[in-house]
Amino acid sequence: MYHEHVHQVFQYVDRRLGRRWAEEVTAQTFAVAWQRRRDFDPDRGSPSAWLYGIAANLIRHHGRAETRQLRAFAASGADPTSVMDDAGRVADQLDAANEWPSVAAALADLRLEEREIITLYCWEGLSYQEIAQALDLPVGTVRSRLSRARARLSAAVGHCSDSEGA
Amino acid sequence: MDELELLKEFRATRPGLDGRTEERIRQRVFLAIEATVDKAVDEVTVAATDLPEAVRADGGPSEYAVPVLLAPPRRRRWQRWLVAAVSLLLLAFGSVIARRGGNTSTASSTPSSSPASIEQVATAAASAPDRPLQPGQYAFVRVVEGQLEEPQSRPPTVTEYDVELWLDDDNAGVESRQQRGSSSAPTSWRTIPVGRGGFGTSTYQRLRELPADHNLIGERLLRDASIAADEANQVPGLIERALPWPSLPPAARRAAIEVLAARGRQVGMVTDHSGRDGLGIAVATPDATQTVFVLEPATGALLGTFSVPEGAALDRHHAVRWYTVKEAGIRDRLPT
Repeated sequence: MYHEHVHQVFQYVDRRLGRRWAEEVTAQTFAVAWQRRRDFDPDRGSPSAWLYGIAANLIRHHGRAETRQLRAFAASGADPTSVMDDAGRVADQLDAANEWPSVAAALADLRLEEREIITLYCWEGLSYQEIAQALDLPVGTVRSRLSRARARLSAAVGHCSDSEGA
Repeated sequence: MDELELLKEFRATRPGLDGRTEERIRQRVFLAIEATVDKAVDEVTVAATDLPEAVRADGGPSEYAVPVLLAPPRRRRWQRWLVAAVSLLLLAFGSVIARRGGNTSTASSTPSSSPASIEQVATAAASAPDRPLQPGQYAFVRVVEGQLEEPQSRPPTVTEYDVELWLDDDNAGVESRQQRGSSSAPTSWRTIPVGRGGFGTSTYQRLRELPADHNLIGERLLRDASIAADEANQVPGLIERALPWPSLPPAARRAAIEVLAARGRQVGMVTDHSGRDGLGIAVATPDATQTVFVLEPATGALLGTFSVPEGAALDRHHAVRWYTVKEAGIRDRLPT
């Protein structure tokens, strides 16, 4: 399970919190998974959804740090979670776009539970059912929170775009 | 580019997990396991001896596990006789009990063709006998949760789960969930994490303490589910989970129905997803759907709900999500 899923868990944590925390939280995720291995029930969903749920739970402990990073990104235009890749480039800056600070601001303004649902859906490609299983929520709650997160994100990004264009 | 595409691009380009970092992660995992293994073994050994067979068969306790469902040892000797007696009684008098409104079992309820108002249904709910658990008893609900996985796909994929939950008066519970059509192993049981999950937000004590005032019950449901008080649009979903319980106090049931009536509109007699007729209350939900609550007019029992996209006919055939109560009741023993 470790070899099969460590890359995707790391990637998810890295996107949420950056490299600074990704290594530690990924390790914690698998340590917790080992401790709770008897809780995993394949009837209830996939191992990856289960691991995402554990990771999301751990990321909640860093919710304020995540919000601070997003707000810093929104204010400065530079992603504080970026790291230099092997080619010596700031990886996140390669595709930098004018919208990124406004996206960061919108993400920062989301409630933590909305942020974790929209990132699992959008970045990790989990279905409603998988998110419900990962976060132990009713599917209806996942739908409603995702809907609300999308609406807030759309409004914030649209508002910023309008302002820039004015 | 819509907001999801924009978000998808945001932080899309990140350096992958390199070999050195992966090795460090692996070392940290091993160290963490090594540090906890002795303690974990002790805890599992102790807890497993306390677990009922239904739970123990699933492999043991959870960190979040509530106090487990423990049948008093003295009951075990005559448990089978009791079950047999109760089963016979239920078989013999089941229909009579149901007609009196004393059993919220919906599997055998006869659809009512007579028109009813929300007020009448709420009154009927309030008039039903209160059914608190007696020592050693367990409340249970059996429901079907279904949805179109991705409504825009053709043909749409339907996912349905048979869900069963049991609670005792000590706020413990077990849940079983089985995907329909799955060829996987038979349903396993797990202890319910308190305050988490669809059913997990309900405990017996919380159900019993729900207010009889429709101005207060929504706030209490949100608090019990650890949802912020300003997320009032989550209340109908929580009512959906509370109404099937036979031990929900009649006054609280009435209050919950009144909340639905205040937030939605009566849509007359409708048919739930399994084909049973009841009084419909349509409530707008935040994910651009309308959820229709189908209530048995004679008792106020929830037959089920179904959600349709905004603008679609309030018809079960347009449902993108459904929640059907198959059975609910009180028993003197846990399932095996």
